[in-house]
Amino acid sequence: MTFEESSTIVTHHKILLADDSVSIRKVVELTFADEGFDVTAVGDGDAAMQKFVEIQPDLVLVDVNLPGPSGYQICEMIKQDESTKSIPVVLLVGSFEPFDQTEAERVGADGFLTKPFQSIRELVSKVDELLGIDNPERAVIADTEDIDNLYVSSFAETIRVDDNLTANEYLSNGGMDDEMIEASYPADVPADAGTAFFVPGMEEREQVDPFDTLADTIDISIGKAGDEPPFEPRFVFDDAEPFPRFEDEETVSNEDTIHDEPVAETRDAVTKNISPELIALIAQKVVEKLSDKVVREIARDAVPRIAEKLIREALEEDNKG
Amino acid sequence: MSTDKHKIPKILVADDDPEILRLVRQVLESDGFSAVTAADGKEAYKLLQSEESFAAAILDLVMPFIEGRELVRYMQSERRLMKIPVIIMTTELSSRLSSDSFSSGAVAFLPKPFTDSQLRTTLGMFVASHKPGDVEKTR
Repeated sequence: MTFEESSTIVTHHKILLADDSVSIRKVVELTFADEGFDVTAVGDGDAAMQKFVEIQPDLVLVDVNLPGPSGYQICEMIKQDESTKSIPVVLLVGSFEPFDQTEAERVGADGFLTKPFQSIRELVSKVDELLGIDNPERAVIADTEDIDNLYVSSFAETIRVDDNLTANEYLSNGGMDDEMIEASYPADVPADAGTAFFVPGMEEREQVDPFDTLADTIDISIGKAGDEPPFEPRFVFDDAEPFPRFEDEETVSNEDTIHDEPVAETRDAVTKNISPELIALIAQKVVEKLSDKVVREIARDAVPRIAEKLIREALEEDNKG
Repeated sequence: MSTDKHKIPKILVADDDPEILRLVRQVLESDGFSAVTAADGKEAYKLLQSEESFAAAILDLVMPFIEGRELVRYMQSERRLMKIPVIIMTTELSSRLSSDSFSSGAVAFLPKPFTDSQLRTTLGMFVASHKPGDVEKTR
């Protein structure tokens, strides 16, 4: 599964579009896909009603002059049902088609837009307004909330920090204070070790650049949204150094660390209980973060190595020659 | 405002052949235009959807993701894009292709391969040249 595919998991708003114009369907699909929406587009009124029940959209865009039930009729059906009447419905009206505003109001439409749109941004703004979205970075915020929620449900109730308390209970009791956190870090941590990972209690407490070793040492398998349960995510930690191996319990020497439980057991708990959604979200976040700063860091590290390799190869070839 | 009057007109050029993009850009820039290039139809559509305003679009007929003709149809769904004259570049020219493209909203064809002067003449039918010298001559 690619990270791009995993983004389907974090799509939050579903839009149902019913319009018999192929171009309008394509334009709306392209535009809203870029905005992080999941668009289902159909070309007639019957398909619209069928898909409405099937996908339970957050918003409906419907052409007033559709083959089969008209946009007005579809809107009326949605608004007459108690369970669906809160779903916003926007009517789309062709410039040269008759539009009955009184009828639109009677059936409870939440708005209408004329085609061709002045600008497609006009439609995006309307949708954002009706869905109560006013933050352009809404997707990022929502993802972060989801990560927090999934984190709690995946870990906090399942990982035990001692014999009596779950992580949630432990944290609600105050968790670690600053002194405990400081004590859990090795004493020789350089002040500029901002992005390095440290594992308390490792025999050789060397800095580990996570992005230097991450790709080589961790194999993360992620299931697609439609995968059949039970789906078992898989973390494989290999022996490559300097990434620390969790099995190295005997090397744990720092008595102040909170890892009283055998670390390998904790890893097993993580492996069993982590949800594929959480993995996908984290993976996506990692890719997003890779976009600028980290890519530069990786490039800074990788380019001299590649250059050195090429020079060596060239010299070897010269020597052979 | 005078700043708008003297703003350099932007022309969108979309082709998956980088050589064509380079040549068209060269001609456009020498005529005082600013060329904004895209390597496929999707990229071109994204540029069109951005807040940029284009004086014209020169699109290849066959491009990855979204073909030139299809892109012209999409442009007809937005009033601000409908106004942009579209020139289609193509190696094949048939009456069916022409009628399809014109009905989609294209305004001219530029058969490949074309010369600098053919490009200038075709574009000149829709957008005035912006070379400083030419502006002077018209005064």
